[in-house]
Amino acid sequence: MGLETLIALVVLLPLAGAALNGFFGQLHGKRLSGYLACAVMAASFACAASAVAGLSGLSPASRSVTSVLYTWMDASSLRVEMAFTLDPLSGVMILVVTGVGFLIHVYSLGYMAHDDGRVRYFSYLNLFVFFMLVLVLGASMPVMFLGWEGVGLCSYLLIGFWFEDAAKATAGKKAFLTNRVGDMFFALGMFSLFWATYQAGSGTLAFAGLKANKHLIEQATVGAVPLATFAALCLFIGATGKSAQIPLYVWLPDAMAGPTPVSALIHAATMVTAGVYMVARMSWLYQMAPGVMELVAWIGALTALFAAAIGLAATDIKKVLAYSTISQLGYMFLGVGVGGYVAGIFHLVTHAFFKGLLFLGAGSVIHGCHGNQDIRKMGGLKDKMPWTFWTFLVATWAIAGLPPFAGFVSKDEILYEAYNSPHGSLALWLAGVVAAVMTAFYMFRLFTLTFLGAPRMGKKDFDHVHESPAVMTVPLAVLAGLSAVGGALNLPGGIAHALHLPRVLSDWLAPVFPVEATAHASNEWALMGASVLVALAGTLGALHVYYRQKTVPVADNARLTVPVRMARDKFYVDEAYDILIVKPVRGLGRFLAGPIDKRVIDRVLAELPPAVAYWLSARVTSLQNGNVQAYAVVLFGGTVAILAYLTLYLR
Amino acid sequence: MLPIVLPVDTGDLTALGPLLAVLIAALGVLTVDMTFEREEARGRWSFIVGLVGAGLAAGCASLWQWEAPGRAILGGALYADAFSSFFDVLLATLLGLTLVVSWYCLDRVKVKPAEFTGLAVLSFSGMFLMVRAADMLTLFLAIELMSLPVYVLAGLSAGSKTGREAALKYFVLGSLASAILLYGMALVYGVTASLGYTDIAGYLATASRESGVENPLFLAGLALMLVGLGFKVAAAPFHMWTPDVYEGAPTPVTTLMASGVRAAAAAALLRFLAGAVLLTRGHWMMLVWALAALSMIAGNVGALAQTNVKRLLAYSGIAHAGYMLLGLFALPRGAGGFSMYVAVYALSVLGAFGALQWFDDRGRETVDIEDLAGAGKRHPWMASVMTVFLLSLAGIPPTAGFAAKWFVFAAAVQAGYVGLALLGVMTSLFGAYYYLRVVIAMWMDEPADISGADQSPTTGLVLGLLALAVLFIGCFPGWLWFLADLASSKLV
Amino acid sequence: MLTAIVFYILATLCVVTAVLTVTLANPVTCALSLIACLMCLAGLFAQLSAGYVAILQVLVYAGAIMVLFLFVVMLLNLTREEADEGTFGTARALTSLVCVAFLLDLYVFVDAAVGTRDFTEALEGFGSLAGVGEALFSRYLVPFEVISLLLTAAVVGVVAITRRQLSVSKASEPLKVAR
Repeated sequence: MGLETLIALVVLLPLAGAALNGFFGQLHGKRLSGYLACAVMAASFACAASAVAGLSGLSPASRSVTSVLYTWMDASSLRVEMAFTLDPLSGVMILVVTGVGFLIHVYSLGYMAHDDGRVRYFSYLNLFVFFMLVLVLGASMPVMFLGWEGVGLCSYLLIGFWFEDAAKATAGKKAFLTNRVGDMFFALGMFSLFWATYQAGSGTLAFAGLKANKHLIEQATVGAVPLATFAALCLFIGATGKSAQIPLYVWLPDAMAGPTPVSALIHAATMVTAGVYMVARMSWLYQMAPGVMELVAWIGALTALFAAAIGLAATDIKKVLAYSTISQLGYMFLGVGVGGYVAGIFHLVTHAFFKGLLFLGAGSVIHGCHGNQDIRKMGGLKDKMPWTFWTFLVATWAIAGLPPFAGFVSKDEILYEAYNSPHGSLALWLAGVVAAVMTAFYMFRLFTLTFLGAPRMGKKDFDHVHESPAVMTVPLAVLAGLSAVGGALNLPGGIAHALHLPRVLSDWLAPVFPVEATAHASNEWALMGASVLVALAGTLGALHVYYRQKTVPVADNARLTVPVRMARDKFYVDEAYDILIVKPVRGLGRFLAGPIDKRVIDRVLAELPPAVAYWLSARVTSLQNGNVQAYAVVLFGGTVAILAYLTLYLR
Repeated sequence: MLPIVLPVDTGDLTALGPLLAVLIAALGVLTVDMTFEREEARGRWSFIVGLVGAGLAAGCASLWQWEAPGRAILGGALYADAFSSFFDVLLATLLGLTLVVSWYCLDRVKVKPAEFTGLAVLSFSGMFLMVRAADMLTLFLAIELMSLPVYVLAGLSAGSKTGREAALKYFVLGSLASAILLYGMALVYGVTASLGYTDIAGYLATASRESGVENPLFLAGLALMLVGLGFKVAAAPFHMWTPDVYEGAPTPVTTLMASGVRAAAAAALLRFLAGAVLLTRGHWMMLVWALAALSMIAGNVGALAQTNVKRLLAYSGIAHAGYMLLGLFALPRGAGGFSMYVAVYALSVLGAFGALQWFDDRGRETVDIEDLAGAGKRHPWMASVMTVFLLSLAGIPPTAGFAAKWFVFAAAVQAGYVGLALLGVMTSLFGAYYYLRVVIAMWMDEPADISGADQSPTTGLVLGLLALAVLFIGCFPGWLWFLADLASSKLV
Repeated sequence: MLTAIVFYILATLCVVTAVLTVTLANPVTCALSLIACLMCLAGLFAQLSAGYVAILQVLVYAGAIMVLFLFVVMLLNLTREEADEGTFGTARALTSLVCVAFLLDLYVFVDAAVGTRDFTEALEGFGSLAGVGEALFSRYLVPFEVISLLLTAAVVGVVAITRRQLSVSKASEPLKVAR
């Protein structure tokens, strides 16, 4: 099989799975639907692996294979092909998406075993993977946009899958609205890039074509602003929507209303990283807009800090993980923002391992505790759920940034870039370090409260707690293994140098990213030491407070200090959004829609004197409101305006 | 004494096939109405005759040699060209679908099937005339032939006050718009001394700029004609009637108004602008620019606060008129994007209204978003189908709506109207909010009530196939674009 | 000179009677002023040497259609409208403003056109019996046939509406013709 065929298969297999389950799921039954979904994911992963292997057989310079399915839209000079490009960057992504996706599918077999909507669930899940693959493999911006919208859609559907209360519906709406704002800017960025190339006579939206025409984009301007800056900014705002960054992060915690494997797949491992991937994909554009890069780095750093702070006080196991995801995504943006694209993507990969694992572990805990998600009512689960306990420990260890697990290596690399890169600074590094302390603290807080200490639930409930079946624990074990050794993908420069080992990921991704290598700095060991120290500090702090002193977070306001209360209430951001944006927008809509048929017409125009109203209702009962006259006046008014406009053209 | 010679040959009759098929079907339905005693038999047979007519029309239209150059027939009153054939196929499809999706709902809204079918087919015969009208007189009469039955249909629901009110509003305002249109035609005729599009174009090409293209009276006439046609496609600021009428009319009639009527009106608009007055495009493009911008803003903003789905779709239809008009900027190169947008919009909106009728098992004229809450739980299949149509209207890939928007935006950009295209992109993305409000209500809100009325499986199947077609066009828009472009490029 | 005088008299009368049609309170006087207006229009047509059109105007509008109007008025026993005289609200002000603006617009266009641009001459026999007949049965045969369809549609529509009204009234209460 040629590489092109393999690439097409990677994408189309999940689609076929979704279609088979969606259309014929009722025929072949619930049991089979799960196996079918897993089988297509396994096949897709196998294809992805062999495609990447095939790609690595090519010379580094020619590692970009495009598989054109057909011409999607062809409007003379604006031609879009349904094409997928496999290059080192998308290769890494498809391995993560299909690999982690496969594990989560297998896990779902156990998690969803008792659910009636299994067929639909697996159909949506496969469909999601399809769109995610379209997003990462898309050879042009419209194809990426197709995936971008598609994953959003699937995620609303999956969030709303178990709508049992109003909160879930609200969550779906919030996710939708914030993403809409992001998508609008994404489209705007896409549009401006097309316009820049189109004006110069070579309109294109293919990534390769845009990159080849980057001199045209560099010369173009929007008003006084360079077009590159404008486009990069728009695309980044789009990314903040999908990847839950300040200011558009509010939807992600609420999205946890969906089933836990969905949170693991969509809201941790894949979809939310799409923004990071997109910035990395457009790295050449961001290189032309250093101001925007700085903004990306700062937004990332601030989000990392801010979300970690909220994570310190959250008491819902999934909410803690959600804020942790936002915070880790902030790290990734910090990485790509300072030009450390490899570091950002590396963290994306390791994060997919350990955060996927954390969510699945949390799912296992919730599964075992019969739906309880409040960590204040857990504790002592260590012996009841040994597999979950040990794998969760590995993941916590990794995310806290303790050596030698994967999270340590990738986070360290981001902090190293934040300090040493030409775009980096001490302040960015400090923000990252403070966030790292908090990360270690809230993760071990979560871990301790859940698994260690004495059980805080009723005796009867505790007795019923059970370990999950093997179909769920095996994926946990595999992910735990990956979280442990994933750091080997890209060893820290110093270590790799000392041991004469290759830095696999850096070398692999080298052809994709702009060459702006950060000089090998002598402070590497010092920075690494600092990372280890802060991670240790956070870990020990959490263990001290929650394990030694056996503190349990409290619920009532009176006993909370103000900062903690603010953190628990998510700094009132949702409320502020509601007051500042949601209400005014709704009001505006009402105001603008109202006047058209209500306010102006009813009040100003049709505020006919009572006599007229009486006349109307008495004569023509069916025409009670007399709006027709007003409509006619507007019709005439429009005519008058058009004619008046034309008089300007009279000579 | 001049001999009266009507130049008719058999080739002309082939070209007239679709029109004749629908005309005969219309008369056939009337005959059926008189023949059968029982209401039920009347309804069934008129339905069958109508469907056969639609099928024959579609068949005849697809037989036409699409590559053949267009020509005027019957003494220059009608055109026979690929553009007519394109819209013939579209209109025949719309007629068939309208009949099928409305069939089971007519009882619920208390409209007699025979009357609905008869008037609908008559109205469609007007539409078939409209898309091939080659002079202003035929155009005007065709518009009236299309509109009269719709005025009646809107008020046909027994005992429905809102329906009668909607009918009266539509009638009064429609007459006003017709008067304005007629006034415009008179002025254009006064300047050019001809009614035929080709003759008008010929006059403009030969007369001096002063007396022709820039003649004030001609421009005034052109503007008034734009107002009249703009009313029919419901472009702002001539849109005021849409929400009230769409809401008040029985849903089967609204389905027809939103899809067939607007498709035919749009086709007639394009044919007039491209065939007769292309030379003055410098003037009318500015007007179209204003209408498009206003429509996109007014429609999308107006739809935001709606709680009634029919009203919401009415406002969004105004916005779609704006997007549609963007496709006109591709002239003089052939406005394939425009035709494609019209086709995709008509199919999607027909599907949406069809699904709405399917859900609305009590035959209320108004369906609130809340009524659809939990539809995904009760009827997951039909909710998915409705979702596809709404996504297509919202222009989200991979549905047909996205592809269609792509082509009209591309047309505007290529003509240099970047600002307007940008406005279109922004409003469409922002505007998609209200469509997804419906989607979210269907999938995520708690069911309002679990009602168990019988819904027709046939209708469901047809709507499902239409949804698949919408998805198919979204994934493979190439062929439709090719046909639309082929049809529209021959107008000039 | 004489033509001009006649034109201005007819035109003024036309406008005045048109305004009266929409402002008078009694439906019968309204209808009568409409007749007067249509008559004046016929006169204007005659002045343009479109004799046949003038006659048609009188026969069809002033004759047939107005008789129908009056029949309806009398059948429904309409009397003076309980009118809203003396009230001049915002709505009316705006309506009047729009109408005046419309007229002004048109005036601007006509003013710019007349006398400065060339217009195509009307054909020989335009508006005469032979001219109209010939146009109707040769060049405009298709529109002529479409009119028959239009009439069919109108008849069908009217039947549909009345049938509905009848069945509704029958079901509820005996039909009352007049109040």
